[in-house]
Amino acid sequence: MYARINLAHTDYNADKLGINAKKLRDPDTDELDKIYRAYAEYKNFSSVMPLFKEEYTYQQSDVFGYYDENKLVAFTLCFRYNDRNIAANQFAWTYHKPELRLGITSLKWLCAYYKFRCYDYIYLGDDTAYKQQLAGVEVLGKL
Amino acid sequence: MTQYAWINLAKSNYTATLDYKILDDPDSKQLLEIYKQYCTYKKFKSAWPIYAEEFTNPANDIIGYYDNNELVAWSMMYKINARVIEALQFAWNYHNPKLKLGIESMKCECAIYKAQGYEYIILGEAHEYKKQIDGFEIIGPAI
Repeated sequence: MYARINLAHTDYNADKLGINAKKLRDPDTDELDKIYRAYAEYKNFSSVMPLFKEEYTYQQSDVFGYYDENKLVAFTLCFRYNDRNIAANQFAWTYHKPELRLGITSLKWLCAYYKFRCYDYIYLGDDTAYKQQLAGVEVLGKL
Repeated sequence: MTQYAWINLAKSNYTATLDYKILDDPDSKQLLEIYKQYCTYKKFKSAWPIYAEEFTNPANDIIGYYDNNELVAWSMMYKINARVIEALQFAWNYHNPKLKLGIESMKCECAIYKAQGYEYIILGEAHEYKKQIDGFEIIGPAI
């Protein structure tokens, strides 16, 4: 089952989430690759969907960086389908400090970011349990 | 744990025998109707949406497959870079299941993109039926 966030049902305030995030206009793809590698190792993935440098700079990609003590420690790669719908395609972080809970907090921050820009939905991929704690989560039904 | 796969085109040697063409001016309404038929036939309880903008995105090739001169199936191929392409979505109206277009279209795409100099077609999840394609490889943990 797939899930999305209906942004009309969210009300996150980016300034109150305690996360230092920004859109990366000119991402350092080597740095992002290192974070993705660290993420895959931490998660002990036996098979990893590759990410290519071109995907970070593709015209419909948005890349967001998340910082801890001014160091880039995580990122999200989003793909804009159109001006209403976006997919949170890949998230990765170093897990250097798990208590930051960057996986879920970054999603809340993305809700605030895209809702402010009048998007309607963020597509999340599989409906995994941890996503259910987000406001506005909906399981996608039949077409 | 999820496993991902690609086709190593150096290990495949298919010929494009299907009646196909890469669509210059895709009719998104027609393609979306085929997608709807596909999801209905497959009884997907949760369907990932496809947006019309994806059909005209210059990063995507849309390959149409014909039977008796009628468009009956399509594939959306995301050209990541000059070496790697990803099979993002396939849809078919299953009007004539014995055509086996699901698997035959993949062989055809191997031939098309190998001829264009591509090295890999990323398939996403390593579903069992994909293993019959020459060059099929599970993507490992190293990125």
